[in-house]
Amino acid sequence: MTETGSKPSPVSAVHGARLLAALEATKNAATRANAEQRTASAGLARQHLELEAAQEAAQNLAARSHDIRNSLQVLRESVDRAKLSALNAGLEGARLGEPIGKALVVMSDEQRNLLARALDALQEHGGLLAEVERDRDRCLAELSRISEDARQATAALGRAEQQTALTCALLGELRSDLVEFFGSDPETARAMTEAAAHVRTATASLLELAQRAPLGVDALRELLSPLLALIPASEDPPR
Amino acid sequence: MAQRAGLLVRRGGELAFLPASVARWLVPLPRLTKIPWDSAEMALVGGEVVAVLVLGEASGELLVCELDGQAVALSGLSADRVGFWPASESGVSVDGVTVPTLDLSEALARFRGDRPAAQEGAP
Repeated sequence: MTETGSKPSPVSAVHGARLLAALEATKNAATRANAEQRTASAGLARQHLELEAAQEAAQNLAARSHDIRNSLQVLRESVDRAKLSALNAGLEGARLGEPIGKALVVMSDEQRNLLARALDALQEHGGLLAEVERDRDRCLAELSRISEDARQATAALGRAEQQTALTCALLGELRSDLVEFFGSDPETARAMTEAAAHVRTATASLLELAQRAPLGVDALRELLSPLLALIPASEDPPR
Repeated sequence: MAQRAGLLVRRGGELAFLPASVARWLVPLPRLTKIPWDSAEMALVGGEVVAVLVLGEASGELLVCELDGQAVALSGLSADRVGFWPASESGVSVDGVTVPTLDLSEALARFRGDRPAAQEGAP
């Protein structure tokens, strides 16, 4: 690095150019990440809305199962009444005595058997409904948990989005400072970095040529020396 | 063997027989009302007020009977089935098993006998 105000050396200029190029690439990556975060955040917000709709649907199911339970209760009461009616018909038949009342008693008994089966079926329906209600309650609890997780994820993503935006702004400031410091801009920095790479390649080729043509070595060394001076001291020329 | 027509009822899990001449009809359990200063309960059945003998825990149905020409309702019974069965010494034989006739004398005696004691606190 050079002191502020003094002319930068060729070596520090190359380093500065690389630094600016890396900074520019980092800033671009941070900007892209910020855009991705915004997309993800919008997706999460959509999912949160869908989850809320699913929760509402599950709660509507609760109201419907309550209606079904009421309906089952009405059915049960009706079957109970019908059973009593069948037994009363049988009692009439029993009072009439055999053989007149026998048919009535037999019919009554058949009705009673059928109604007993209906009662069993209603009992089974009640049991199944209870299972459905338990499953629905589990679903509701799970949906509530997922919704809370999604809410927390949305909040965390929002915070990350803010941090990335802040990083972008800081990188922008850093870039401006470096541009001012090196007296260059990112485009020039990139061009300089590419030029340095070309110089290294050309130097390597010329060195190889010098080894194969010993007579022109001195002349080539003289030709190469200004170019070699441009390469940073820490980088060994390719052999 | 002579056949007896009647109703099989469950009382606390035990089957009992009631002749068709006694058991009149079954109704869903109506509201039972206690008579002040008396152990008796009454119910409105088919527009008539009848005395109710409580024989067990409420089952959701009330059996209206005719005893000595009087309408009396029985609660705490669960009607099982109606039919004709061979008569046995104590009741009827249902599928080879003797089912005794429901003994209402004790319940009736208590119903009648409780009244003077229950009336002690009456104004």
